Amino acid sequence: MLSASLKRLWHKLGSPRWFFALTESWVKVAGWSALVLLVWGTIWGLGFAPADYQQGNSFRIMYVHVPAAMLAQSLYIGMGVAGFIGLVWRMKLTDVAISACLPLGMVITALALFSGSVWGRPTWGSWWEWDGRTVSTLVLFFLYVGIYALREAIADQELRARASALIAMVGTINIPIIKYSVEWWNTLHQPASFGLTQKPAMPSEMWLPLLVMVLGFYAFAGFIVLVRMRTEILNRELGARWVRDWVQVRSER
Amino acid sequence: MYFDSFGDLLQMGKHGFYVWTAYGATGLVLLISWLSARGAFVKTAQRLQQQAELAQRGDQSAQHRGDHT
Repeated sequence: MLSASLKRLWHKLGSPRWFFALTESWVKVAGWSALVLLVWGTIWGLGFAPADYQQGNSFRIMYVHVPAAMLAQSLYIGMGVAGFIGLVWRMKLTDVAISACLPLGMVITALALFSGSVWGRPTWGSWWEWDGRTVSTLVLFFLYVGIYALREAIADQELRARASALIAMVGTINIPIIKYSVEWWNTLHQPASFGLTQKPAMPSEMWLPLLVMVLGFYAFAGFIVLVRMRTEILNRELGARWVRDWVQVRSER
Repeated sequence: MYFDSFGDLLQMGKHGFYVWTAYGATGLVLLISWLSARGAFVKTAQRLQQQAELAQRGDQSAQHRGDHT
């Protein structure tokens, strides 16, 4: 019985109409949580967290750099998983998800690189270092740009979906490379500040604001991806009856 | 607050430039992401609305013509 209801849920999840209805309230929750968490975390991290005894105040860049870098990878993993599901089960929604993750992932990866560079200048003494982590993150950025360009170039929707799903999936090989780059190669980049399993190497008044910022970035990503997915669904289902009904209800409000 | 004054907060020791550049870039990226996602949604919703209105008008005029024949 459980498997039957799970199967039903799986099929529902693949239905754009059902997804659209389901996420109506999620968008608001994600958006407002993002706003509150990001404002709170920024004020805390900039004005209240103590300065680092070695790096001084430049360490405050961590509160934007680390969440951006985490999100850059998570969004890519999301695209890879969506690509896999799309190729195997031919679900319509997965391509919608890829198209929604793509623009945010691209700019967030650029932000991770940029904020890292601005942090590197006062800390390592240079704007750019060709070390394992910066290079593998640069590769991540090019993967995003590549898929974006590919999608712009292919007009056929079916082919575009399959090509980008495939590249998204194959490109996930780069994610463990980013993660373990600080261990595999001799590097200037500091190891993870933060993990799910180990205790952070800094005092709580330093890592708590980071936790708030990470949650804020993820809520923001959820918000943006949902808004973009909903937009894409409307565009793809233009003629559908339920879209016309939705427009009518919306205009009456 | 960790800093003694607002001036200290801006200056951040000697790291003010780097810290504020990183936060400024972050704010800009998040703001642009939000505006463009929202803009696309609003545009699509407006287009659908216009289509619906056009279709309605089309129905009405078809009916209107029907009355006279």
